[in-house]
Amino acid sequence: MNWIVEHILSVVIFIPLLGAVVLMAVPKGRVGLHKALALLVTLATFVLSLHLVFHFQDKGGYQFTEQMHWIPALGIQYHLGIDGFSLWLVILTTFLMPLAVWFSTTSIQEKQKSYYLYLLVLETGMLGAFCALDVFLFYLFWEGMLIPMYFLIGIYGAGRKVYAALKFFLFTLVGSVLMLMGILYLYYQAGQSFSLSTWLGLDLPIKIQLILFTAFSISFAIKVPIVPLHTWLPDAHTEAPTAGSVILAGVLLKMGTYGFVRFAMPLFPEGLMLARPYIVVLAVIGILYGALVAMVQKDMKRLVAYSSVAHLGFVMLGLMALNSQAVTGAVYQMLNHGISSGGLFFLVGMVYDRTHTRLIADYGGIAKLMPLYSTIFLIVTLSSIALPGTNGFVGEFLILSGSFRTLPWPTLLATLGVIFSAIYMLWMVERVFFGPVTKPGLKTLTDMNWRETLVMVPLVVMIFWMGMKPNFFLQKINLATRTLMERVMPPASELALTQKDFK
Amino acid sequence: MNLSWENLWVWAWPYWILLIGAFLSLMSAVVRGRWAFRLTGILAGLSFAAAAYNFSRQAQGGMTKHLSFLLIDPLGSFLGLVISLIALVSLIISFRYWEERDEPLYEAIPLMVFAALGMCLMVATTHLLTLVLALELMSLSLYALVGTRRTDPTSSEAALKYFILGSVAAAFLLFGVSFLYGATGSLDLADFVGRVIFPEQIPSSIYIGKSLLEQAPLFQIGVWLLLLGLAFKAAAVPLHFWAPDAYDGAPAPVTGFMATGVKVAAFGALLRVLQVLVHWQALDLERWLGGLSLATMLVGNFTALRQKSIKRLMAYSSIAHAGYLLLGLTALVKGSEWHSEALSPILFYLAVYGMLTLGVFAILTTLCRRDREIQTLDDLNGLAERHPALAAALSVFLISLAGIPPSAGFFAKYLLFGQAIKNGLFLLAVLGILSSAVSLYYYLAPVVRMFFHKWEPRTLFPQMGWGMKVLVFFLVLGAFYLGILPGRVWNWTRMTSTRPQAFSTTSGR
Repeated sequence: MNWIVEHILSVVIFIPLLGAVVLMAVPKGRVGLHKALALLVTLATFVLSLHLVFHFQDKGGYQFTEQMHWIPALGIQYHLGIDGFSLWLVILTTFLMPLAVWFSTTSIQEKQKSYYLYLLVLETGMLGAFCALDVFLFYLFWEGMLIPMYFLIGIYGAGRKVYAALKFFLFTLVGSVLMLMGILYLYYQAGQSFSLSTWLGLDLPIKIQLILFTAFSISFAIKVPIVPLHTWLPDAHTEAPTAGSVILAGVLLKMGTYGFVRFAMPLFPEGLMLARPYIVVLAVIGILYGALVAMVQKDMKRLVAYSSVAHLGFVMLGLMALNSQAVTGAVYQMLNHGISSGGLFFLVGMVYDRTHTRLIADYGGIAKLMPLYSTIFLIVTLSSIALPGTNGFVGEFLILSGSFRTLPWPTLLATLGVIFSAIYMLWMVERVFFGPVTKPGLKTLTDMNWRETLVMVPLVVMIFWMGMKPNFFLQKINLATRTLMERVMPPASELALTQKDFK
Repeated sequence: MNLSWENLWVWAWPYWILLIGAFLSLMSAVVRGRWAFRLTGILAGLSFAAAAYNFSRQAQGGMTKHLSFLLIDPLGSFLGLVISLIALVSLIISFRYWEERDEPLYEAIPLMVFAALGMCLMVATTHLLTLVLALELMSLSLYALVGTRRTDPTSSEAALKYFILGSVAAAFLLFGVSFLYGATGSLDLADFVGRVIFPEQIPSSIYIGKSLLEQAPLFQIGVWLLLLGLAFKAAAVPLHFWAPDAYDGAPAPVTGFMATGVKVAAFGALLRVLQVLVHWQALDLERWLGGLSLATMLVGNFTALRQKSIKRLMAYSSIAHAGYLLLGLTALVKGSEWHSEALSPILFYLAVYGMLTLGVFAILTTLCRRDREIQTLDDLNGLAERHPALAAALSVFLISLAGIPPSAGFFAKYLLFGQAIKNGLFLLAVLGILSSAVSLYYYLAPVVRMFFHKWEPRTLFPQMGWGMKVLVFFLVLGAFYLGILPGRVWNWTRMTSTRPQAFSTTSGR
């Protein structure tokens, strides 16, 4: 017991992998056992990860750290630890995984064993990437995530799944390879060390910083995604199986933004200042472009996918505002997006499993047929468009009010995106849920069953909890924000210089 | 010179084992019959295992001895160990393939032993005549092995092409050696150091008349021809044209043996030659090798993208890997200096590349039928539906070759490119890493076919005995072990490359 508490992060990270190994040993025919095992493992991971929340001390720096030599000859360490940023991302991951598994027990009907295998391996990859403090270790987990996701999309997806899977894999890989070169450079600069803390102590010339920041940023920007590197996202999200889309939108996109706050921004503060105007412009373009493209989508899943582009644009804007309010809001918005977007993908998946169509035009008036479903859909939609009282509002408000101080014009433009998001989401809701039921195939639709309700209830609870009582979460994020801001915040004069670009 | 029978017997023990193994297996093959064939296999396997054991003893013991035409040192022993293991694994892979015919192919196994002996000798000499003879021993055995699918015209065509092109390359090599002999009066690379590269150190008694510097052009032509011949064997662009045809036409297990063994032997010989030539600044080796490496990486990776045949795909993959290895060599000779710490990534890479490529060919071999060799990628369609474990194993090898962590392929590439960046070859390393990202596309092509496509009647299904299952299991294990805990093997390669070697360029002998 003591050992578990001391190595809680390792335990949380590797339990899913252990579960995957056990799962491999279960014979192929025992489908029920596969499902039960996967569910049990993800639930156990979630429960164990709650330990992190309860014992998280309100202080800066990394907690629950573990450090061991791994490959001493190369200075590679097994070094884990979390701060306010990664804490909640870990919890988000462990929280969404059981839901994804539970949802999949009914929606995935073939090749189930390997499906749960991929999901569990994926979870280990994601958790490891959030907790790693040794950059080599981070890179291993970061790349390791790709393969299970690739198979999840390619085998269990729909439509042009092979194309989508390959595009996802190649885009991400090209990005990570750029990052790898930066990592290798820094490794020798730091005297053959991969330790993040050593790297933070490096004093790099500004030109080098800019190059390295660009290399790291492209890698993370592909994951976020920042326009124009987003083209893999609509394909991957649309063709992935429901649980895959949930994990992709809910967690994997956060890898990109997490990479910015953990690596790219603190490591290269001066490079950040130089590149910042461009990223801000791209973030604003992302917000507006994502919203406008979402508006004209015919496919519900694609619409949600493009809405992710817009939402992540807000997150990037908040991060680039370099204002502690906005950064905290951005991290909060990462969590919100994980919940609302994940929820929307679940909901779209539910009707897709019934009708096997995702086209908005094939629906209409289903509010009469599925009252409970429609209510929950509306709640999640409202969270997505940031209605006060829901979690989305807190995040967007913090981002916009914070970044207005440092980036007034871009923020003003971004605010348009808030309006657009209300338009495209509510317009979709109107076309799908209201009006007369004209399509004959819809007559037989049944409302959410108890299994599906069980998936959505935790999400709805979180939407309101995070909307009403944000302080519980924000408090811990704030600690990490403060550390980050001390690192990247330039002297006041320099900030004034960069502001000029936007006036 | 210490060359006596006694010395030769004591020090060259692993080579004797291979030679005796070759003759014994040849004799038992002459008897013919199922049991004789099995005995052939057992004899060959034992000699590979015994040679590997002795090589590893020698490598760990750090033994060094210069026996005129043979050089016993940790580098040669390590590469000899890798080659013996490659040969052993290839033998296990190919055994059923040879046996499963109307009449077993008796000569195949002795040929493999002879080829392995040639490879081991190639990496363990600085004597050019030994190099030529060893290379011919290896090549002639392989020409014959490539053509063993006698009923299939593509096999014969491949053997003929390989033979003709290979002979031309060998002729170049021999020509180069004779130039070098003319220029220096010696066939041992070790002598070159004093005579040409540091002409001021020549004792005046050796040469009467012309000074050696005037003969440098002769020497230079010799060097280029020598390097050309070795680059051909390593399948470096633009001397790679034989590889796709030979790989495609050869029986799958032979392709695996060729793709790995020849590569190790060629790079081992290149290492020996470069270790001497590196000090000769007029050659500007760094630029030439860098250019060669870049061309090889790019051509290999981009041509592989369009391949439909799995063996051709693996051929271009092996060309691309030759490009990465050449990058390692470039880092090794950067600035006309021998960076001995840059040697270990190359050794590690060779070992990992050999393991992964053999893994791929092990599985491809189990898919071959008596009447039908595996050809196109579509022969793999939907394999995962019926044989998920096998498909997963093949995917592990391919994805590892692409360099995705946490697998051995990633770690090997990481070490190689990291060393290149450390030695200041930043641009070349960046281009290499990017082209390696491209490689993922074609390595995933078989994976896509196996996992995402539906089973078709044409799809080949595996036939494997327990020996193959165990072998594939251990290779998969190795692919992860060397990616997650590479420490031990990595330390070994580092020891090999930093230990004082029998032949050091500063002392000349």
